[in-house]
Amino acid sequence: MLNYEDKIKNLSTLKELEELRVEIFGKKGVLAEKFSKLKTLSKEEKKRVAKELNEIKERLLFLLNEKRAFLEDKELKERMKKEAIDVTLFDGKSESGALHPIFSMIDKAVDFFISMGFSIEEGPLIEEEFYNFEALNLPKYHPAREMQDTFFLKDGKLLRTQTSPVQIRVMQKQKPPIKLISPGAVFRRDYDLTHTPMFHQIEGLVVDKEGKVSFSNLKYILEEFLRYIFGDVKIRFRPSFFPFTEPSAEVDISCIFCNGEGCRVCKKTGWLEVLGAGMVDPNVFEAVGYKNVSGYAFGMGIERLAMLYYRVPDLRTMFEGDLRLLEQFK
Amino acid sequence: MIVTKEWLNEWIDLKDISTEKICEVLNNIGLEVDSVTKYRVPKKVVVGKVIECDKHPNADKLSVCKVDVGNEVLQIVCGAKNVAANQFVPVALEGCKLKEDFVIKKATLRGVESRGMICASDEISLPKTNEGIWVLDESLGELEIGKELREYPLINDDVIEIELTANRGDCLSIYGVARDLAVALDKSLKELKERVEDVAKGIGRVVKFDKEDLIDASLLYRYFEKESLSFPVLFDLRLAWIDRLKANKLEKFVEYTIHSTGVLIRIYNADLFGKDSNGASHIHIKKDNLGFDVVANEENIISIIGVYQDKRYTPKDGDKHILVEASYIEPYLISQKVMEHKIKKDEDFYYRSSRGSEPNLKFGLDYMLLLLQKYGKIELYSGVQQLTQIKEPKNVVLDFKKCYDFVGEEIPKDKVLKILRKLGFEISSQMASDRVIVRVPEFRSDISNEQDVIEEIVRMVGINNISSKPCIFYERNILTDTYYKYKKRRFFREKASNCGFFESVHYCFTHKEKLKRFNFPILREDLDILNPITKEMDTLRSTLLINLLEAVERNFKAFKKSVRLFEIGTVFNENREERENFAIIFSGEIEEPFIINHGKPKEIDFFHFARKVSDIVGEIEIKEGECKSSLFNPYEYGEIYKDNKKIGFISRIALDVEKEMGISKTYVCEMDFASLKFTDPKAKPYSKFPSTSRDLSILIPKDLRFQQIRDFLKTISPKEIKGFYPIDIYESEEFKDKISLTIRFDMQSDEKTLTEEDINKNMEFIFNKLKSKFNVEMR
Repeated sequence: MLNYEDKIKNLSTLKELEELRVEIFGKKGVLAEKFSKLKTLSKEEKKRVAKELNEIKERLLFLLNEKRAFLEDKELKERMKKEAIDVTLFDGKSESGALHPIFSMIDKAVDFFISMGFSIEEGPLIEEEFYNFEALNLPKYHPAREMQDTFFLKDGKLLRTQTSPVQIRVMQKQKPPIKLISPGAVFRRDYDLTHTPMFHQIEGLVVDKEGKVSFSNLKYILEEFLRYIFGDVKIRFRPSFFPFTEPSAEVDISCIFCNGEGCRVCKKTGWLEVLGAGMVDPNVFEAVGYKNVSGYAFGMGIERLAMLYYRVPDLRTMFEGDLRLLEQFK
Repeated sequence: MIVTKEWLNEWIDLKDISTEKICEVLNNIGLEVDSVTKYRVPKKVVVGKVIECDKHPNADKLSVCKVDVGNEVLQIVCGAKNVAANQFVPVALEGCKLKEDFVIKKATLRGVESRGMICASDEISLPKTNEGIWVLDESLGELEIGKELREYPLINDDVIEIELTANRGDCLSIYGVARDLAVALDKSLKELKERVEDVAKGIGRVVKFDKEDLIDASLLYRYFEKESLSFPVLFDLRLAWIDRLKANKLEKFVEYTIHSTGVLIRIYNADLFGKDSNGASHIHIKKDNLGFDVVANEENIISIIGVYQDKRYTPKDGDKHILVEASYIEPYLISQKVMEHKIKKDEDFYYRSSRGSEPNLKFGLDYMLLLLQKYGKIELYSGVQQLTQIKEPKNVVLDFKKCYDFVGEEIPKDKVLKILRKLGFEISSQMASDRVIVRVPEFRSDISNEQDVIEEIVRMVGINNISSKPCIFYERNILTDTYYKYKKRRFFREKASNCGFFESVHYCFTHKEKLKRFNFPILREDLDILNPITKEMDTLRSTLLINLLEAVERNFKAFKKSVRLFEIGTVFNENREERENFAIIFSGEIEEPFIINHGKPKEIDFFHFARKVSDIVGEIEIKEGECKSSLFNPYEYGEIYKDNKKIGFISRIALDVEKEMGISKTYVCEMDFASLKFTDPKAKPYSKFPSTSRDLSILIPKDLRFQQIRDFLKTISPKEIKGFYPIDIYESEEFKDKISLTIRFDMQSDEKTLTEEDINKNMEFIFNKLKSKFNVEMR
């Protein structure tokens, strides 16, 4: 029987192992045969041989199981090798979608202003002349109100041309102090390479008692914001004019494409205009019945910021659902 | 507003200041520089004098000229009609590079040698002033034969375009810009010193003014007889720079004066007014029926002050008797009426009057008359006709403490007062140590209150020089409903994007014809857009899908094979109520081609799309619904329910629309965004015993909807059934009018491990119930 131990040792496949197992332990196997011969032996003899056979049986069973475990393990390892793949076949692509650069820009701005203690307010897209113009010190005869700029509706209402009417709505409802931003879509009747009939703005308004809010404060918040978005840029304030603020300023950052050296984007000036701001005009406060207050307001075009920050080359493609652009923001 | 350095130099000494510095200062004081163009004549273009000019022997249209260029006389063939002997002209000498690819060489033109070229203004890097060659005169500086034109500063000027804000009508002239610049540069402004010379004859002999109403405008008139006029070449060049060239010399003087001084000037042919027996023209000045101040003769209104002039009454070249008018009117008195009544207007003229023109009428009128006397021969009648409104001077109280609080830092009092004085304010009295009364100059119609005055101070101090300081603000809760609304929108946007969709944004406009064609709600006619920008955007959208489908179409045209987009945006119903919708669209291949799908991805289908939607908005149920729009395929259309509430619909696009648009299989859904909840999930207790599942295959009538089975099963399922879902349908002829449906049941007990017996009992129970309810058979 000892040659079976060698046979087990020399097994190399699970199939051979199974065959050998039948040969030894099967109903017609060697062990069965040997056990069947027991009955021909004397009682004494039977006991001794049976004990011997049982020992052999156990020993062979142990060896066989040990070998099986070894072979199974070997086979799994071989299977892994056989099923090896070329991992470099992965093409690197993802199936994910992406957020739109305009709304990502709004999200960035909202994150900043929320962290600075501003609340968010929203207002309707369809506005009344009073909120969109009159209350904002844009009297009836102001050039900005001419037909070509505003979409009017047949019942005398209009599509808001700026997010500023939200200022008025909030001031009518709340008492100072007020500290808000208001992002949203606005509409102007203008359609060419650099104008779309709908675009987005973020408006900011801070109002408190007279003497509490100064131009210095306005400069602070805007400088912080622009550095948060654009990193280490130079910031320049230029006096300008908006009907609802006074003094008014346009704010430039040093050109992020040429570091202020002068290039095509900044029209060789080294500066990029990014937003408008100013101290709230007293006529605006008068329109909402506020007395003895001071405040600042600012407004920025989101598309402008998004085009600069995300380097989007063409304004109009942003409104066309063009995957060639959108896929780049995965 | 266009200014040039040399033109400004007539009012303020800028010789030692660079153009760059001027631009910097203009920007700092709120006059934004839009562009700077430096005009430079190329080298080797010199002043030449035409000595002789003869016809070319072999060409009708050419002349052969002898031109003195200083050190020699050149023979030059010239093609311009206006060339003549004794003219001073620009001559490009041999070797002169007029353009990158155009160098002057000796040439033979039709057998005649030509050495050089007599140039037109636009051939030597200047704007075009006239047809033909540019004839020079002494207005450009002393003409020295042979001297290079690039040596003449008045020709080689720097042209600065300023983007003027609507409030600064006072800067709509060279003089006005110079006046503001003088304050910032701390320089003095030159004034008009010369006096106009007139003759003994008085204006009253020839013109009678009939003032019929009380008018609002200020008017100043003079009268002259024109004998001859020449218009200086420099002025032509400048009018070309500002794009205001006119054909008529007198009109050119008017344009030049208006741009120089900001005073609005008009000229009339005095002979076209009715004359009385003494030969005097009668000028009627009155109000018209809309309340405008007008100038009229017996029959017609000839001009509306500040707005419009009937061109038939402007003098032509041969006209001799000229009435000249300077006018000023408060902008608000005309602009409102002009807008309301859509009055015809002279655009450039009205642009100035509606923003506030220069009110110093005598200054503008004298400026023009002096030019006419210098460059022509006119007989100016003595006396003026003046109709002036005495304006109440505007006084504003300035509080230094308030100024400090407002700006955020202290500006020294004497500095404030100095700035105001230089800007033309009169400090009329010092009320107390910290307050003064200032009188606003007449030409600043935009200034009326204290904050306006502070703005002027800040402008001149320079906003950039004000320090920045954080604002101290008391805490208040900023987590309002709007904030949560924003957070919800952001949550679903991020979810959709993570599920493979691209956020898009479209205009809120759409084409009404398209809404009509596909039976979408249409905005009530009386609420619609009054002045749409294009036909394709003539109304407000009631669905996001039309714009999104067009985006899909564009993407397919750009060779995309799989288009996945979403949009959360405002839509408007028939009554124009605003609502936010959430639309998702999936078209074409279900995934990118790659190694696993052998480069042949399948196309999207209803169930995969529905699962995507569910990935984004959470578990949904789809029920049969009535498809109202022909945009959709009614056989793959369903309503979306969430928490037993209808929130939108899901559908395939109708095959004819897909075909027409050239797009692949396309699925869409549109939901009411407000109906979606944004709450964090809460965990429930769960069973720790093993779960198992069993499939049940039954034959059901073809027209039985799974929805009915689902609703029924929900009511009868034992509590061990944790879930069930269809996994297969199978049609075969042997089933006749039935189909085979396989439903999988997931089972688990909260108390024990289910035995085979338990499981079979449950399955049997369910089958029997189904059998008695729907008459189904086991397959």
